[in-house]
Amino acid sequence: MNKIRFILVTILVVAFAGLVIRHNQTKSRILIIHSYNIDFPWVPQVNGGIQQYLANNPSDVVIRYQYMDLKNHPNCDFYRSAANDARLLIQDWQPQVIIIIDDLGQSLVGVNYLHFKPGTDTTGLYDKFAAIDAKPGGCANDPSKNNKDYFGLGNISLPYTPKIIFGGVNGDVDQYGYYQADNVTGIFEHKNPDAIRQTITDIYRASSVKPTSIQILSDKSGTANSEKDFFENKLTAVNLDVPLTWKPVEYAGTYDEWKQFIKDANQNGSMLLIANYTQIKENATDATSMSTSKLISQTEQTTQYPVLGAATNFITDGGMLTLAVPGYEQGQVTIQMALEVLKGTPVSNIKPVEAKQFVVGMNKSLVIKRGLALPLVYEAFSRESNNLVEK
Amino acid sequence: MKSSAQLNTIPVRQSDTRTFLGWTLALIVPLLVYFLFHQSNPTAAERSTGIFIGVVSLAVCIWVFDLTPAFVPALLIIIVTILFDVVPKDVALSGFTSDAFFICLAIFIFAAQVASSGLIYRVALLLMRWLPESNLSQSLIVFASGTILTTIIPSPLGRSALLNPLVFDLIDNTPKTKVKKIETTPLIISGLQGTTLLSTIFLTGNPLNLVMLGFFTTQTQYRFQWLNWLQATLIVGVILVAGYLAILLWQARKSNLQPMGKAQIDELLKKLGPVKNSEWGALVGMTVFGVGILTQSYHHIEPVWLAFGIALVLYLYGALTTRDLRSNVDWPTLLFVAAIVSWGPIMSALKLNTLIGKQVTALKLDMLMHNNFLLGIGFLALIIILIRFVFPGGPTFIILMSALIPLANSTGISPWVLGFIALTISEGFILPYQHGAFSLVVEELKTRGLEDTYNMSDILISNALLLALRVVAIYVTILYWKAIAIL
Repeated sequence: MNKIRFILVTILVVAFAGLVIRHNQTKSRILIIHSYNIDFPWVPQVNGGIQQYLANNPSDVVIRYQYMDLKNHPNCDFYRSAANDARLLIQDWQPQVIIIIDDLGQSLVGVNYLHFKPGTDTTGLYDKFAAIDAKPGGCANDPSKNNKDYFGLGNISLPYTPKIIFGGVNGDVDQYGYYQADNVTGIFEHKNPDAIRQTITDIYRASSVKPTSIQILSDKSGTANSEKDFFENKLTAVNLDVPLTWKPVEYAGTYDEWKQFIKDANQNGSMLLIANYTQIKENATDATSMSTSKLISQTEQTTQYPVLGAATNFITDGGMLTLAVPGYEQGQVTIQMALEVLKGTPVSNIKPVEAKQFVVGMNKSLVIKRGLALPLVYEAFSRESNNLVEK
Repeated sequence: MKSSAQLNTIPVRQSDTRTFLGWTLALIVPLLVYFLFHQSNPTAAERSTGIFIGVVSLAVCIWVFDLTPAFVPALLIIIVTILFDVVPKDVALSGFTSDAFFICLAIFIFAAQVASSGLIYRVALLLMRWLPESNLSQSLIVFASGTILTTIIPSPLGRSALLNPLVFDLIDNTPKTKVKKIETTPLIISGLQGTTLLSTIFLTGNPLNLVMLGFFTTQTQYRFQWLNWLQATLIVGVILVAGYLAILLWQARKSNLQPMGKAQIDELLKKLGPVKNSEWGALVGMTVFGVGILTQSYHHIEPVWLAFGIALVLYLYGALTTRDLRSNVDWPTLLFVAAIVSWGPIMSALKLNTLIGKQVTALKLDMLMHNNFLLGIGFLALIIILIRFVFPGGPTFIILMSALIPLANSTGISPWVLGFIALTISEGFILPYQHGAFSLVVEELKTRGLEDTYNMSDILISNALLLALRVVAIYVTILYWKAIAIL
């Protein structure tokens, strides 16, 4: 190769490499970490909200998704491995903003990137986070796993401070230390207690077989843990306009336990309210949870009184009526906040917000089968939001 | 470069009966599979799945009986899925736009440059000159050269073709005595294991590593790129190298092979002449690539595009020619990789993973793996070792992967771990027909009239020991995988 060609090509290559590196370094990167996998309908809903917002507000950002798949594998070893994968990605890719959806992702990944306000006492904080993970992971009683080192929790030093936007959080974010940090904001997924109260009242009035109480039945998942305060205290504090009393919340781990609680509810004259049910095992030794459609359709068939759901997927799983917080809004709000942050708005100026929307889902044939004369608005709203099953 | 598209086997001379049997089965089995599937799944929606399974069974027949080059049935599957509208065209051809395809193409171009430059040969000679003159050190250099080639040439056969000249130069230049025959076994073991032993340790050591990545989701693919892959495989690699060293010590003691003298090495170096521009190009390219991978968090360029960029820059400098591309790039393997990588998306589109997942659950394989992982791994290893006496490594691995991915999904065990275990064991071999690199060496020794210079039983014993060591290494590494949270 002659010298002139060598020099010219070298200039071209160096200039090109420089431009590419500069382009990549200045590009804004947003990492979206889902606690669950794409097979859980809530997740595509959140992604749909994100994509819709981006389509309406074109932005020069690169987005990468990470699915931790924690709902399908509720065990500590898997939690630890999935958290490690997410952290490796953050370390390699160094996103400026990390959107974390749902509770487990906050306590397994988000807590490691907190930028604490001056004077914050972090003693014992990470062990507290580990305890949050250990419970749904089934290793709360194993000291070798129920600790921060096992889950790889602790402040991670990075050459930059990523901003964290949370979404899909059912409880309070105080348990994750978020109020003590200045780089976190987001949107809660709190259920609307008044909407649930009104629907229970409507069901009671529409029902010819009147229940005497309400039994909340739940699995023992991380989400159930986050919503413990809501269901055990906040919701039950709401006065109903009909003569129904709240029974203490029951938590099942296996299908047998679940069936026993249904039997008890039938005997006690209780109607059921079900929000968290994806982590029930058919047999105690099973590696994975049982089919949710089998669980809910069997529940619907064996309960004497109407069952109200408070979950996105309740109708497609075979339930009769549900009130759910839509993932769509969570996606829209979190990406909007992320873009605000990238524009330079300090995170402290963006306050965490509550979910404003809720959707109704209904299976019309099951409503007819139970002989319920529900207000027509339920069917109309379900149809409008594409959550009506007619057969 | 020799093609590794035969999935690391080179075609054996087919007997007429075998060929007849192969084609007969290739005719009957797909039809049988299709009709049996159709009978148990009569809905129109399942027709596409039946066609796909049918054509996969056809491909398996062709692979097992070595009826055509390996890429042919792989492409046939793609064509059939398009012609019968089994899945949309973009899904069927997704392998051709995958990262795995571009990594493979980039590395092949890169490897073409390294191969044609002769850099590795020169480095090996320089090392021999520098290290003490001994049978042991020269065997080690052969192994080390093979290992370096493993990091940049994703084809065991291609590496073998590049390394064999060095091995035979060493044999040819050894001082001969009339009294005693020379004993070349340590050199042959070093050459053979140098090109094959660590092929799953480096991401680019084997096209099937890239095929395996292609089966995974995007996030798992990203998780196991170059350095992260190496971090996960390191302990297996160290154990295998330790095993090789033990075998080498045993063999070197028995061997009377005289090392090549410094004067002879100088003569060979003289023949090579001064360092050529192409060698500098290879060296600079390898260095830039290595530095690029290490500094990824700074420049944010993914290794696949970095490798591709470097490969193209080599052309800008004229370090590579069109002729190099024609003769040194393993096009059949590239086509094979692209076609097989499409399997994952096709299977997802057909929801075949769910179907296989149900079978895995019905057979209680997920329970076995979940409740007794160590026993499950042993069972998997045993099955693969037995199958490998009949089936070539590539098809064995690909078919297994189709079942292992749903198994990983239902048990929560890392799909990479299961894939790596299957691949590492299926890449092991004992007999020449089980691995192309081995049969290539045996053929070449025969051609050169060196059949009496080595002890075949010792080579077979060392192969068997290293195959067993692969299983041991995996068991030992399970602890390491747990420690670094892969498991």
